[in-house]
Amino acid sequence: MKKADQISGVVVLLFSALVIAESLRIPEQAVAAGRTNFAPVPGFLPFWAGVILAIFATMLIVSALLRPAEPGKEAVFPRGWALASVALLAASVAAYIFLLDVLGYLVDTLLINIFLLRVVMQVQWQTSLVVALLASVSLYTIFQVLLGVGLPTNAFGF
Amino acid sequence: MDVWSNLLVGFQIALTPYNLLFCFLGCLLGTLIGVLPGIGPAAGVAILVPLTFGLPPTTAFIVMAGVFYGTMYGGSTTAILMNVPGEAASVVTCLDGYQMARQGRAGPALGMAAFASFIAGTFAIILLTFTAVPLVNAALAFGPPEYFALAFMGLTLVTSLTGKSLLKGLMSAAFGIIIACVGVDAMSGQTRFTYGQIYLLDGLGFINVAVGLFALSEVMINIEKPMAEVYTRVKLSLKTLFPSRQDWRDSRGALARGSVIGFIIGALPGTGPTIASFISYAAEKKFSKHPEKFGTGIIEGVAAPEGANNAAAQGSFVPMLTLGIPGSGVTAILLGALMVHGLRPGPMLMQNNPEFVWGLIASMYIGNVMLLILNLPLLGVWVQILRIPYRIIMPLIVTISLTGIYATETTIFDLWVMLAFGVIGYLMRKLDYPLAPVVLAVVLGPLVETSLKQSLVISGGSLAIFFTRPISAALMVFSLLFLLAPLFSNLWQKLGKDTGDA
Repeated sequence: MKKADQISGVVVLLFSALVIAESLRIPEQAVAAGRTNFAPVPGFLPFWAGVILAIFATMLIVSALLRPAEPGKEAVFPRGWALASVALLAASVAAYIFLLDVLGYLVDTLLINIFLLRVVMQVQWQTSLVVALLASVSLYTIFQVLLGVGLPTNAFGF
Repeated sequence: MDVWSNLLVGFQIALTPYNLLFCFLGCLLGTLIGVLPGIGPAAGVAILVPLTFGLPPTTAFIVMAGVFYGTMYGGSTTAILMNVPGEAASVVTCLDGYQMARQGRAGPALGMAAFASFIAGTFAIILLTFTAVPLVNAALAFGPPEYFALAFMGLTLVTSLTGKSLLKGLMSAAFGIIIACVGVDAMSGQTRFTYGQIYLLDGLGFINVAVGLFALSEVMINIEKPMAEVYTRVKLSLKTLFPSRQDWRDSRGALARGSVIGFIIGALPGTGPTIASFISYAAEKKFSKHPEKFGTGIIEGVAAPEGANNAAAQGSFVPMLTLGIPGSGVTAILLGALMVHGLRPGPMLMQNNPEFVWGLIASMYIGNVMLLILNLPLLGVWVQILRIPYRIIMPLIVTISLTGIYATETTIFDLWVMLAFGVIGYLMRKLDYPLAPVVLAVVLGPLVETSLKQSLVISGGSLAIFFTRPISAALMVFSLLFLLAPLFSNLWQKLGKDTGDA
């Protein structure tokens, strides 16, 4: 965790620097009226939250630098298939969102279900297909038919 | 109106067949989520927020509350039978519960867990019923400094009590405050961090953030580790589920203390069932005449934490319903859901929507009875459910979350926000940054900001206003002491060591 803390500390520090810089760019007041003797500007809270975050991130980096490494406890992320399955999950959700308007809800949901079950979770083909079909159709029925939500459709209208 | 007539109105609402059905569904789902390791109450409730959007607010909250306290019942089952806690709040139950099961006393352990949950839960609802009105009356006199102090206390308690490192908890909370700033500033009308995106004018969307952080990241964490061993065959041979007369005598005191500790801890803003179960177990060990027996399979070790976590789940509704300040991570999600349903949290909630508040409270009495029935005779059914391969459940959680989020606002942008926070949540979990402070800060952000600014306007820019009014001063001092206590105890130890060496 020593190295991981240093890296995450630096990432958070950069993020807080961005927040501080951006909150200084927020205009003072969109509505000029109502300004009394002391009214904090809109950038007030994000600026100070950014400053506090930067202080804590620096403290985290320093404390990680000062403490000895913990052998055997340094690996934070999984390797091999475990890491691949997490990446595949995130990538398939991204692809799902990207294709939602093109493929329509029903087809897109069926596909992501099959992919997650068969490829990521390695369920047998038959079970994957049956579960994916049942899940997609029941979700479609609940949301589109019963709750009347307008789910995205493809060029063929479903 | 007095409490009894309020409660009567509440029961009239909760006892309609429609609400009874949804109360039952909530308890059923809650037990299921509780029994399944890997899916916690926060994820369960977060997924349900978009799914219950089409229901009337009272019914929606009857379901979501049912899921919350239902998980407290279900969580003990796998803790006792397999040494795998169904929820974080059942971690302590493993210590003695599993040992009892190994000695062939799984039945009384499971029975005591269910009875303790019922007794402590009902006790906490009775306290909730009678403390709600006086608290609201007191809260009506609160001004911006008091509200800021309350929100500050909630944030400090949740950051110092969850997670392994105080520093990372504070970073999570600051991150949550920044997230809450995205969108239109309520006081000036100025847009912040929107970058010309119209979807960002309303902020990142509380539900998108919560479902991403809790549900999606939970699936990511779960699929990377082999969970097969959890779902191996559970052999269940139960002679009786009823604890013996001796068991009751042994756990009487533990249960009573667990109920009181649980309620108080639950009712504090920022602390929830998990912390309550740990504290009550530790307290029992201190109280006990035979502390060395804890961890060897004694029934007090089950009764105390199981009572406490249920009492805390009910108790955390106290600040949520009366002050509009969440008592735990899950009630933070519920508070966000309240706003999605168009209700304004705060002391006026009870005056403006009495049917909502009292209908919900009354449904909790009913829900606890339902859960006792669901959990005792049907225990075998729940154990069977553990045989559903976990590999099938995880993908379903993903598609249900995606569908629910899309259905809430019908914009694809929200799905991207959810995915982004799913990945952020995964990284945070891996790097030991606690998630509860983020959600609490996102929900409390607008309240923190307006109360802070209003206070500063009143005082002409001086921070002294938080320390010159008695209630806010007490809350601020308490929070600061709590925050700084670990620092001082470290220093104390170091000083002691130094002088000892010299």
